[in-house]
Amino acid sequence: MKKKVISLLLASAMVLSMAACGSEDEPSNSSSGSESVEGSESTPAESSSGSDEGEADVPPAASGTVTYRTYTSVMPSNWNGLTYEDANDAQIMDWLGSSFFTYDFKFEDGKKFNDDGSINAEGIVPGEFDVMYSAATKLEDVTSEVDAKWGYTDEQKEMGSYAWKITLREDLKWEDGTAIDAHDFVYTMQQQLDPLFQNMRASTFYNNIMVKGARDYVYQGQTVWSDNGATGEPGVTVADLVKGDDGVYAMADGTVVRFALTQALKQCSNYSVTDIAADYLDPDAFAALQELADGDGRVPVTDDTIALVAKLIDTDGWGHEPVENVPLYMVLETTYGEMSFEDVGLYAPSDYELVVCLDAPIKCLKEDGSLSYEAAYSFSSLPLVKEDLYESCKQEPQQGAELWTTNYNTSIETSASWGPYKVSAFQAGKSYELAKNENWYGYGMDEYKNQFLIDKIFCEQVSDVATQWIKFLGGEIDSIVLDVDHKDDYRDSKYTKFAPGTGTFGTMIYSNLDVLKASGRNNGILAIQDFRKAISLYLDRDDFNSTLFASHQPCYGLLGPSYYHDIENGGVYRYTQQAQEGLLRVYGFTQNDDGTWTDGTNKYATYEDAYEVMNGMNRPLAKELIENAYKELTENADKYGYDPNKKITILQGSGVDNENTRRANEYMVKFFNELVQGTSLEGKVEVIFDGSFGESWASDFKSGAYDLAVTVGFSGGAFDPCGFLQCYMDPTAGLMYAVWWDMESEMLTYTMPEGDYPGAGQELTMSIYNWYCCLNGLAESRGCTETYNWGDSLAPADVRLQVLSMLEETYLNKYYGVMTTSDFTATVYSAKFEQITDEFNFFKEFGGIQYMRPMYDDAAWAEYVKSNNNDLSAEYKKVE
Amino acid sequence: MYMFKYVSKRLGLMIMTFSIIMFMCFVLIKLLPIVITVQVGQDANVIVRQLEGRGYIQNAVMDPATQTWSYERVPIMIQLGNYLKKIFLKGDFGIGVNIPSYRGRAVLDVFVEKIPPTVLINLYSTFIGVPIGLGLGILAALKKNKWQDQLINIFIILLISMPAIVMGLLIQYFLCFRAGLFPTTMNSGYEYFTWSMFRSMMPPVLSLCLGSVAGYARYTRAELSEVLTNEFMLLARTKGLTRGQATLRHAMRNSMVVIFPSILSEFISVLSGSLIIESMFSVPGVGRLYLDSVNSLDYDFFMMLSGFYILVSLLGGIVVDISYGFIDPRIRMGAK
Repeated sequence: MKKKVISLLLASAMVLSMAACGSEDEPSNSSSGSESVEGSESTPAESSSGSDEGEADVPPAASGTVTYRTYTSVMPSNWNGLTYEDANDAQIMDWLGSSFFTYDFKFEDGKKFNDDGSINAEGIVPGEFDVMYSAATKLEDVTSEVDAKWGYTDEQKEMGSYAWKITLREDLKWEDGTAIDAHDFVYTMQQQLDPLFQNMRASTFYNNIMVKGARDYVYQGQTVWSDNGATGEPGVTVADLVKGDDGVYAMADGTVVRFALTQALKQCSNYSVTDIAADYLDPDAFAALQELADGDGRVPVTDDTIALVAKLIDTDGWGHEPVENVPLYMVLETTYGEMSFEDVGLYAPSDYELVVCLDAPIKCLKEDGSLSYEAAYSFSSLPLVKEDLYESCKQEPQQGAELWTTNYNTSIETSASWGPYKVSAFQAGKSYELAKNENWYGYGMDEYKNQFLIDKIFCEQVSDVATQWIKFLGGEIDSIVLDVDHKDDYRDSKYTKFAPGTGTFGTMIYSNLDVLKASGRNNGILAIQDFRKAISLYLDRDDFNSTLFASHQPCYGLLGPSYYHDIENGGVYRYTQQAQEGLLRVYGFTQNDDGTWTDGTNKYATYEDAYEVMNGMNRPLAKELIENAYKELTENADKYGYDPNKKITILQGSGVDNENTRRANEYMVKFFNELVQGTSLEGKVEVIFDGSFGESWASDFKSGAYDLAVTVGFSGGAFDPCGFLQCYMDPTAGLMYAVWWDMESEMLTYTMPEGDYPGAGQELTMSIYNWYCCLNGLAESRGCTETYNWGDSLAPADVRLQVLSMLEETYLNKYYGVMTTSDFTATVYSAKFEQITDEFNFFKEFGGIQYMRPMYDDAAWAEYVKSNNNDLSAEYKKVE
Repeated sequence: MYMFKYVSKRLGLMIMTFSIIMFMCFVLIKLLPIVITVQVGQDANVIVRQLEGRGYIQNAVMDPATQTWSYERVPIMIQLGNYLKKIFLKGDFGIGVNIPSYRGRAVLDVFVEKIPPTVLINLYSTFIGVPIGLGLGILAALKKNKWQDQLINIFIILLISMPAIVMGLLIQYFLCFRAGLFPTTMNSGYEYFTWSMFRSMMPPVLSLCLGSVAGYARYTRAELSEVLTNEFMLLARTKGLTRGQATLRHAMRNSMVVIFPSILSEFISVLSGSLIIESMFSVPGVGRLYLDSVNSLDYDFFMMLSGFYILVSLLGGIVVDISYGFIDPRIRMGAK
């Protein structure tokens, strides 16, 4: 009996636990988003149990509630257009706002709709686009009409495109029905630029869209100390200064001037006086100046200190600089004064009109008065917050802080939408749900007829890749990014679509010899250009990308095939003659006198033929370069800090240590072994891995903490290939990996093509940074020596392409970075929806949520999944 | 009275220990360097002013040679003073600034929102795991060296040798995907006590508890086997108790002196959540939060979570110690 009791107890416990497992009353497919849907009354789609549901000729059959379910690895923290920080935040934000002007597919003969009102999908013109009015009804160039206080010159007025008047629709509303007018946009801009908040996205309006006065408004009250010798010449001389009663010199307008001991100065090659004092400067003078310095290392300018600085720099080690150079060691205090928002170039002349005054022109209209791509690109919208709600969300600075913050658009209660969807559920770190915003003006517009057929968007945070796939194959989410582990099964699926991105990536090689020598890794060979070039020429980029990525493509230059130099006409920089010839030269091709090209073995009639076969490899030459590098290394062992008794250790670093970074390391280990095999370096090189650099991986690489950063790079503005060079050539942007390369000192000579523009036909010599600035129209504002302005539309397009290609070639020829990969994403879409086109369009992709056609409503989809035993893998493996 | 004195003394020591550990946590996290990273399209000046505006740094300067920022740290003791004032005068534990999913959110709100799923999953795991584990252990001890014992031992070895992540994968693949018994991930929403939510919690609960079942069963079998062979068990039988009575009243109680604290301490240790299991089943718990707070240098999150876990651990120690007295009357804390 006792045995029975114990057995019964045990059995009960087990049954209890198993009951929780086994007792279910509905099929899976039960994330909360679908639960709300399952509860609704819906009619199963006509073709819910068949296998041909995904066929393109089946019309949308969904009549019940339709939910698009997706996932994210990181949930958005806020969807506030003023403060958002990354793409994760944008995933909600994009649906809660609207555009003044928006891109659309281009349809043959402009016929967007069929006679029955459905979208004319067959009429979509591949690769082309239209720009249409959405939240605005009119756009006018008012450069010549705006108030004189904006300071436009006659030349600028004649040129136009500096000041724009946007007329808004009068039916714009918030999700609660509150009307929106032009004053709301002005209020929002004032909040965007409020210096108390230091909003992350304020810089959009002085770095990208240069609204007059925006920067000064954000910076007001701030003090900066600017280098008096930043341009290489003293901005202010001693003669310009006025001596005060206390014997301290200052500018006539009261601007404070000091000698800087601890601030990096151009005259000291961007080191500070303190950094170089021990090796190069007069020690007594330096000691005396240090005694006079304040806590921030700044010394008042007096007759005595002028004499001390003159003595400081008059040494053998420092080349006996003359006394005239003393002002180059000064810094000037600049304080941004307080200003009124009325001096910021955005105002509302009436309830439904906005005027934006810019420092740099944006050509929003074409010659025929229609909207250019720039209208939708730069003025897709201005930020907009709901005033009463935003004011209630402001949070005072915390104890010991000065920064104001806001929790606007961080929860349902603090959210306001004027876009096609609104937030209907949000759980931080878990999921969100968007539902249709019935007060969106677009639902009443003919242009949006038969679009936005999805009732709800449900997104769940699923960071585990295996879980993402189980959910996708179980019909619980509606699209998934293809990864390496699944590419063999789904790469050729009829549900898989490929989309190019602007990201280009490569392997960055740390090459600063001083730091390499001190690293203790015996890796001074990385400073030898031949060694780095050998890496580039030996690398099989096809194999590299197919091994490490699901769909990324080989890349040979800094810019990939998604950078347009002329978007209106589909002009892609990478496909231009200038760009392709530049790469041919980098990868060992030469042009013969008769215009043909050769790689040393074969001859090609045109550059296109040569480019067609170019794969970036020349393995015999790579082996020769390895020998050269080894010879250089061993003959100058002291110079490179080389110890022949130790192995050369190359440390591959990463911010994370996971399956992907480990796989990349395995690849590099194998690659280096093959590279040195059969050479004098065989058995002497080892590649090791450290994935512990975390979020500081970039700055750690720049400081030489590790030597190889694999598959790192940038994504840039698709229509600004020249501007993208800032990532590699603009030290002030703080993005460059090769920080040891002094772009401001290294000179470059180039003969400009003939033409009608400043500098045409001349042989020009200037620093690489100066070339970059001229190409982007920044030379004057950045204080460069040469101030040619070849900015957008200020120099012939082919000239700009030529200079861009020349700079790209210059960078690649240093081999500080070996470019390998161009962003190309493969996504598998569920059979629940059909994309309106299979052709990728840069602006509309495959149509997105706007054009997506539901093939099943939620109830029918659940039935369909169930009929497939909750496993859609067989369906998704089908090829066309 | 002895117990009161003992508990008071332990609580006093606990507060002192808590304060010292928290002080060390604050100083150490503040000593970590702040890396000022600028992305494409961001203004470095704005980022630096934000850090200055939050009272973390001052006099930030970029070194053009390395493109890295140097700055002076606002003295840590001043920051500590501000932090304590913020908590004690305003009840404000701060806001998240760096963890991507929680920027701009009050850390207390986030914590309060995220702790229930973690606690519930561990509670369910304990409620399911303990009876099964104890039951199997008892059965194995009573049937020592018989086929039932061997079978249970095989089961235990299988469970023990399988990491929770493998268990999770198997449960996810077979029970969720193939059999469709449970949702693949935990439901969204805050209604934790519905059948649908309970069902969606089962995969992580099973992943966590099956390992514990093996542990409890092994412990119980070992302890009970030993106690059952003691002479006082013979005495119990000779004075007329049945085997069941003797086992339940005497053997079990004695063996629980070792087993019960292990149940309690395991429950406390899993309050911190399982990073892998929570990630695998999309449980909106605290599992990853602590790690993220250190990696992202989100000071307010780090301090709040540190405080919670330190407090739970210290309190847990006291509760475990006191629990001995209730299980075994021979043990009296603080008695001389």
